[in-house]
Amino acid sequence: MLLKMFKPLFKNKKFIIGFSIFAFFVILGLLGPVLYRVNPTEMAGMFESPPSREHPLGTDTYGRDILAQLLHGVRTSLYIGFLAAIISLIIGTIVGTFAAVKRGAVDEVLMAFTNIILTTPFILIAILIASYLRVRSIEMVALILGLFQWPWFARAIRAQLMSVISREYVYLSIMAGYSDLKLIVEDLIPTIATYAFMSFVLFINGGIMGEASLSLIGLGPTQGISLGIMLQWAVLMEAVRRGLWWWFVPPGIAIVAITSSLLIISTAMDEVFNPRLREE
Amino acid sequence: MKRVIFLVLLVVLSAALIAQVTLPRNETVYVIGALWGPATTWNLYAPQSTYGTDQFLYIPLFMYNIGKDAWLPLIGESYEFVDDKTIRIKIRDEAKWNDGVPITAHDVVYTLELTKKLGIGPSTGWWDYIEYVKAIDDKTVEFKANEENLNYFMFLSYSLGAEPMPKHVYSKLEEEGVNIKDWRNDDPEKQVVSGPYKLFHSDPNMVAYVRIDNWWGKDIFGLPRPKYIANVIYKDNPSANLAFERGDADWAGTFIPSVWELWTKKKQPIGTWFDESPYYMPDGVVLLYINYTKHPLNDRNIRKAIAYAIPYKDMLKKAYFGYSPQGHPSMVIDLFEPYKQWIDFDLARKTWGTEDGKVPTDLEMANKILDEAGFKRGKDGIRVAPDGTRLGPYTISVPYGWTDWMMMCEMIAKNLREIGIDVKTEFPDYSVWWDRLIKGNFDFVISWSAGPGFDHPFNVYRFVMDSRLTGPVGEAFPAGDWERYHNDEVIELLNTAVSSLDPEQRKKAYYRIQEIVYRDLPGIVLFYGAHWYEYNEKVWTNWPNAKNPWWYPAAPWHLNALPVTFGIHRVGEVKEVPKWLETVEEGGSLIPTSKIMADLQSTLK
Amino acid sequence: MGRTSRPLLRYLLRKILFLIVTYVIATTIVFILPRAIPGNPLAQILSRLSQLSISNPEAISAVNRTLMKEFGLGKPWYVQYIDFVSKALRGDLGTSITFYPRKVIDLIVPVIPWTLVLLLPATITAWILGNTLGAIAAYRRNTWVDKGILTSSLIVSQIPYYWLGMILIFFFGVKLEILPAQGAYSQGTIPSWDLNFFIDALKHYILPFSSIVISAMGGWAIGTRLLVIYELGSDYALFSEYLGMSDKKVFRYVFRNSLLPQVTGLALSLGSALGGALITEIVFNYPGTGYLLFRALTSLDYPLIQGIFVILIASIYIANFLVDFMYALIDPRIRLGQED
Repeated sequence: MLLKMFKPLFKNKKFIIGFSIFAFFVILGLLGPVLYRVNPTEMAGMFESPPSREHPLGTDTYGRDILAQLLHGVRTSLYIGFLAAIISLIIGTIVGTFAAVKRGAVDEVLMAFTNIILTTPFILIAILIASYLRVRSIEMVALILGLFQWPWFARAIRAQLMSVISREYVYLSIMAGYSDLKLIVEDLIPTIATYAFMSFVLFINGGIMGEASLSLIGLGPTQGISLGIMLQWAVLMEAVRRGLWWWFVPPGIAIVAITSSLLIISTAMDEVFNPRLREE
Repeated sequence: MKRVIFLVLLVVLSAALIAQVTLPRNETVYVIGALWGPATTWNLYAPQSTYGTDQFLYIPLFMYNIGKDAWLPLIGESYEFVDDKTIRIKIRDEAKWNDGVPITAHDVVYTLELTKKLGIGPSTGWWDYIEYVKAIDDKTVEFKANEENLNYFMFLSYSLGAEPMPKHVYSKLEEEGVNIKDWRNDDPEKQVVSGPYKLFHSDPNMVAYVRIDNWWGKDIFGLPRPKYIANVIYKDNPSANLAFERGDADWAGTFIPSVWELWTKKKQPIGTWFDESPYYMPDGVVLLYINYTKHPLNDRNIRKAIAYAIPYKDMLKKAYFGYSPQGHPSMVIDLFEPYKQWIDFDLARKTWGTEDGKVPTDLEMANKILDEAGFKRGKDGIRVAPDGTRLGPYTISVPYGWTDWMMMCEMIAKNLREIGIDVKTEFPDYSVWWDRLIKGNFDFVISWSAGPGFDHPFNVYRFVMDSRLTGPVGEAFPAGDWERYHNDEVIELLNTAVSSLDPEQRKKAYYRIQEIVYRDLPGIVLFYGAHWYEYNEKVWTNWPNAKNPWWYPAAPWHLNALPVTFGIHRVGEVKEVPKWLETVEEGGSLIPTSKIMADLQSTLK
Repeated sequence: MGRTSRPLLRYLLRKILFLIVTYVIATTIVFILPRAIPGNPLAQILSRLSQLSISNPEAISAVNRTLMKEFGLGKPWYVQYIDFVSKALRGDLGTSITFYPRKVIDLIVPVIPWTLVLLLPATITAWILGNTLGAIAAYRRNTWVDKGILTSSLIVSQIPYYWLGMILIFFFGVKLEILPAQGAYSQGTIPSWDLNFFIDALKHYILPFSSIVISAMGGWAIGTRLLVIYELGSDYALFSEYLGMSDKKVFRYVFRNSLLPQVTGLALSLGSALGGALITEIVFNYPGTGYLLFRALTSLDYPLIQGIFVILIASIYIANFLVDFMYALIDPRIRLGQED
């Protein structure tokens, strides 16, 4: 069934383009560090040199190879994006479905909670939480990001589910004595599956961008290299105004390429799954 | 509608008539590296004051020149030792506050008494070392050393270096019931100062000072050359350095990576004190502090092995850009000629086996020491003490953002792991790191101690090893001995060093301290923190440097850097460095410490 | 009269109540968290004394004790909280620790305008331009205009503000040198209300403003395009078309209806826009709240942290409320008491 759902996607031009770009970066992140065995933290001594044969993307202020940093950075950023997306998806699904199914007081409370998270400027609270943690592991950062992305998703699926619940087949299941949980898993979740998938893609985006923002202000992962950390060092060392373009341009391009390819994928999915948008 | 347009035009036109106020570039010296946040206060009775207050607005009786080890009489004119514990200082007749009121001995007495009352202010802590300060007459002030806590260094430092505040201003504030600590002294019209500059303008982007053209000292010292001194507030080092590189700043006191490239590759008219490695003068002894309360880190063999394992030369070249040579393990800064007499070179050579007495990087030796002391390697390569305690996991930490120190931590940790000690780096935020440091909650940290001064090396030994400065682990003691080393013999030796005027006695005490240092290694000397000082000769020139050392300390943030403004001149407009900047032997005004000490000693005969 | 205004009033009151409750919760979190961080707010002051001062080390312990008392740092947190709230209600946000003795209000007031002057015009401009572009794309569906706008929006909307800022600085500020590379006005200038200063500030404003507008525009364009496409396919639009109403007229109604969710979206985006603006300030060395906030956070300056958060969050909530208010005026369904 899943295969049948996703086959038309591969016929959509936008989807193919987006997917290829994204897949390229995933491969870059997975295989890159394996094939290009240069240590991103090793100080080779040639401070701040532009791209050369020895260092295809040049070096930074401490003589570390930028290409190695980029490859490791893509891997870390993708990992954080995925992790944050999974966390947001789980939280959003649980909150949205419970609100729709249980209704009443549970719904009110959950929606109030959702609204609070939605209105509060995420970055400020994230900064506070991130400052609180002594050592911020990659997983911790993903958790912080995941905790703030889900509200719009929860609201959306709650709305969708509420309209679905009033339909006959669900009514039949309730009459047949299905428990709430069984109802949710067997009847409701499949209806929101495609929407969830699209949102998952957008969550990855949010995770990658969020990590970059946090890292830029020094509140990202304390160990390792990510695209955001690369940008942070570049800003810290005034790479922009000193003209060291090879340092801050590649990570930015990587971020934009990955996130926009994901957005293209999501838009393509919207077109395929949503009849009103299909090109006539 | 037409009337609205007319009014708008009127407003715009009248606004255009008010000229935009910009500081004239060739009359302003722009400073970077001294101010990193909004201005706080220009009142020295506060836990901190805005840059410039202590440097340009208020001046002391005598100002110390580190390079020549001599004292410049500023507000003070001369001194006289009544006996070896009492000094009388004559204040210049010409000395006046900028509102015309004369600077008197009563100002000095009032200043110190107010500090004691408030608990904070100029000369904080004077009451521990000075028994009393009193005015003999309007222009003569007398200080008496505290006999129960006799410390000649502190005695001289507090008396000669006293900085008077205007009594007539502060006593009025007291009468009005103003909380002096909250008083900002931020009105340029009302500021009463003793120095040649006062506040001109302050906003979140810049603080600017303007010269007082009828300063009382102009007939004695002349006037400083720049009309304005301005410090633009940048968000961090790299932004400030960029402005400096472009010639938008003249006088710098920041950490600049690969500074030599600025004149070799980028051909800018920029210079540092030395034109080759180490480029900078030493400002303080930086050590690796190892917590003395943790077992088995307080074992002498482990500490010695660690000393041999540190990659001194490598890390100084890669992480510190060669800005400092390796520090001498005696904790004495060996780059200043007058300090070399305090180093027991024979002892150092014998202990460490090198020609200059500095600790070599020798991993084999480190491993040998540990093997022989019974620290066997476990299956994971990490050693275990004879009683079973594993050597790890430990952390080595410095504040996040101190990139050069962060790199050094990485390199040290790597070597320590190779000799079997499990160490990981950790870079918490500054205030978290500081909190752990002063509470003794750390394994390894890199941190500062004290620097050159006329009481060197006593100041370093005291800072690192005097357990009277500290307390139990978990309680905050910011004053020193963070690693909580305790040794009564050292305390006695320190007391001897400061209460004796005989240099031979002092030398004996220092030599014995060095023996103890090599044996116990309370902290391992790494390098000398650099005295960050750079200058850009685009607009102003004749800055002091190694080839022309007419004043040191030269960094803009240093408390004693004011004389630099008297000697520089605009490019193209050659002016001489004033004669009074030389020592008395050379025809100037600076009095060498040796002369003061000799005068002090002569009272004992 | 009474019947139509009551649902509107109810709607507004509900919103205000919600915002107040959320505000109290948010500010309490802001109060507690920094204190939970194991660090020493006096660190900067004390270590500076320790490094620079030639005087004796015991003095530092004395200063430490004096300051702990001044700032009430030894008191339990709930006492500190009550202190803070009672003073705040009187307009006194306390004294900064890092920049003692400056008052928190004194430090924040000069910098907030720079943040707001960057954030608000840029966000609104992006909203207007983006929505217009999106509508044009939807209207000219499947032409090269549509494809061009869609593709460029998809890519540009994913460019982080600050990175775009870096690129703009690099090209216009460093390579071509036609626009200033940092700051809000030229170095050494003392701000004054005159034309020269205004022009100088404007020159410095162009790049940071552009980086926010360009990257935010894309998101709105994509959203509006979708919404308009939806609306164009709805019954009343199709019916009006069949009835022979001119395209332009249909479009006007469709546009207005599609815009409603975007108004709510504007309110919601202010929070994240603020974050982006703060980071952009860092990249451009723009003297806004961003720099002050980060200094306060890294030095654990409790009063300053609280003060900034309290004011920033309040501003966002007020802006939120204003947008919701406008929404209430535009959307007739609210006046009629229907569910929003």
